[in-house]
Amino acid sequence: MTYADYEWYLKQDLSQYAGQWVAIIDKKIVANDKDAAKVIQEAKRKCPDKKPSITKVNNQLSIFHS
Amino acid sequence: MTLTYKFNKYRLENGQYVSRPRIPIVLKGTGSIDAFALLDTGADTTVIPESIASSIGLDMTGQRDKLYAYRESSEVIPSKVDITFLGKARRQSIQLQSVPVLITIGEQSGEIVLGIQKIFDEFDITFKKKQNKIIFKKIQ
Repeated sequence: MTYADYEWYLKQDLSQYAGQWVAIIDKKIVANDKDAAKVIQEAKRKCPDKKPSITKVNNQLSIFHS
Repeated sequence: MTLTYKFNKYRLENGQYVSRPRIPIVLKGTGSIDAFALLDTGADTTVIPESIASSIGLDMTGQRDKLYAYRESSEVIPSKVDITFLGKARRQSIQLQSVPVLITIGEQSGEIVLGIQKIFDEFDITFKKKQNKIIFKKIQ
């Protein structure tokens, strides 16, 4: 992960991925799915030499997410 | 040593906007994963979904327990994980070892939540929403 990916992520509207996990590499969404394990696998398959950053896109009003 | 993070502005499905404290971390077991996790001052402990815990090889042999969140409960397994809090430069990053976590079982709906246990013992954390800053100051 780079801090640049974090700063890029903060500025994105990811509402199209609501309810899904996304994987970010070099300021791009490289994989998305409801299953985090699939997202990690897909990101590694697409970019075997890079390490993705993952996060969950939750667009529901929430008090606790687990 | 301090680390500074920001709130992540979300547009909700109802059109409202909310700001959530998102923290760039690395979770490490036998493997590791980079993630942008939610910091939750209302969570007693850190919570990780089973799919993530499996992918980084966390020990999942602990005794199952229940985690209560508002009116619902989830089945969880206690474990430990190393967490690195990312700095702007790699050398500024700070690692906490053996942070207690609860692994939520069989859920695809959860996310990575950073809770109070250990993390709030190691950092003084200041929220400055108007300045869009979350400041982690390492307690010496």
